[in-house]
Amino acid sequence: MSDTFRCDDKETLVAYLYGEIEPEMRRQVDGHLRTCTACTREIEGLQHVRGDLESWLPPEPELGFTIVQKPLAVAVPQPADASAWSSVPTWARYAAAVLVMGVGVAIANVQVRYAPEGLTITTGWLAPVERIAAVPSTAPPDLVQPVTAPARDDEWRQALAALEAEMRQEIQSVRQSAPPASGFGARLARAANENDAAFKEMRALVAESEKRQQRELAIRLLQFNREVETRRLTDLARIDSNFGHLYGATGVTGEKVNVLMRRASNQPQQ
Amino acid sequence: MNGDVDSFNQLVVRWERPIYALAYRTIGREEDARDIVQDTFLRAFRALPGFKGQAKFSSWLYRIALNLCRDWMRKQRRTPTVPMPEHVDLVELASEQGPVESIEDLVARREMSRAVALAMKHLPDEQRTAIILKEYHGLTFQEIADLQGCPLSTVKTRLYQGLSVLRRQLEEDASTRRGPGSGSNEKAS
Repeated sequence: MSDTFRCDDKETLVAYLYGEIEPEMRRQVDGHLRTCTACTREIEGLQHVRGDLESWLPPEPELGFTIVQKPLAVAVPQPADASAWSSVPTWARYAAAVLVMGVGVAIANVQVRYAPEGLTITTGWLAPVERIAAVPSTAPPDLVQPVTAPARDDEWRQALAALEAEMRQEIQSVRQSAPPASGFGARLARAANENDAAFKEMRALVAESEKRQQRELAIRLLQFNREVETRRLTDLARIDSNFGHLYGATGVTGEKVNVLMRRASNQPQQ
Repeated sequence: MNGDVDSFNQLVVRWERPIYALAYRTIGREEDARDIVQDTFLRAFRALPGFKGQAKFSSWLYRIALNLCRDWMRKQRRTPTVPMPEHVDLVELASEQGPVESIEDLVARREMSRAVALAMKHLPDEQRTAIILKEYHGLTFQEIADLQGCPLSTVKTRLYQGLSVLRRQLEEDASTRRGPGSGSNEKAS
């Protein structure tokens, strides 16, 4: 850039037009414009073009573009076919389970009968009839009283109650004493211990499942809160932007009205 | 990561309209300009880890958007499409009429807007982009030079030449609209 402005120095003229010019050079251009009609006309013409360019407004677009992150998968072990079952309603799952069980029972030809001679369960594959009151032959005769099929209902009930009471007593005595090494009592104790262990394990599983569900619920709630907060901030920013746009448009309109009024006031009356 | 998404979406809200305006004025088509806005922010979000703040975020977005516009224009030149004719529908204009602007003013503004858009189409891409960035986005000469990858003096030359072409085009258009016999008051260009 030269130290003295000349008519052919268009770069400086553009810098002057947009106000991006050193103060000293601005003074030189100002001084030049006072004496040079061609440059004055040119700078006025370019300013007029800039005014015309203001009329070119883009249409109001429907934007609202946002980046959405897919929710993270919760690290819960799922069975392989969980995705397939997840779309099935709960009632349909129960219905399917009942149906499968029914089909299995039908295939096995299971029959349950309650007759005067006792409760019997038979299957198509196990032809011999098993009486529920039958006593295993391996049981020691001194611990278990054999029960024959009662002829009457009352006797059958009494015998069953007696057996239950005896078994409870036996289990209680086994629990109180040292673990027996062998025998039917030992087996009962082992079974009771196994049951306890199974119950404990089940309780632990249920507790773990509850904790997991609570954790999942907390994660979901956190995620939901975060999404709501994001949406709120986005809406606020959009409202702010729209207000700014409205203010800008109002200002432009006002400026145009002023320009038109000035032009109208400068025009001679016809 | 969620914080990144939230912050980025606020930037989207802040910059989507300027980017749309830039794309629309550069390529002149609403739908395609919207696509370019979407692509711009998607590209910016994916490239966000590589953005070290060496430039202004807005300049970075403008660069991405201008590259997409340039790609779009190259593609259009290979497979040109017939643009929709622009009609001035007075009924439509009347429905859009604001509380201040009369229909006459609205028509005049539409006419001028159409004339500017048409005149801008005649400019070479570099001149048009320089004028858009300067006039509608207020970038400095240096910022435009950085975006266009050219010296500062080239930006000024492009602006001067572009504005001069626009001046001639708009004066011709104005004399055409006024009709023959009304050119006595025309300025000699």
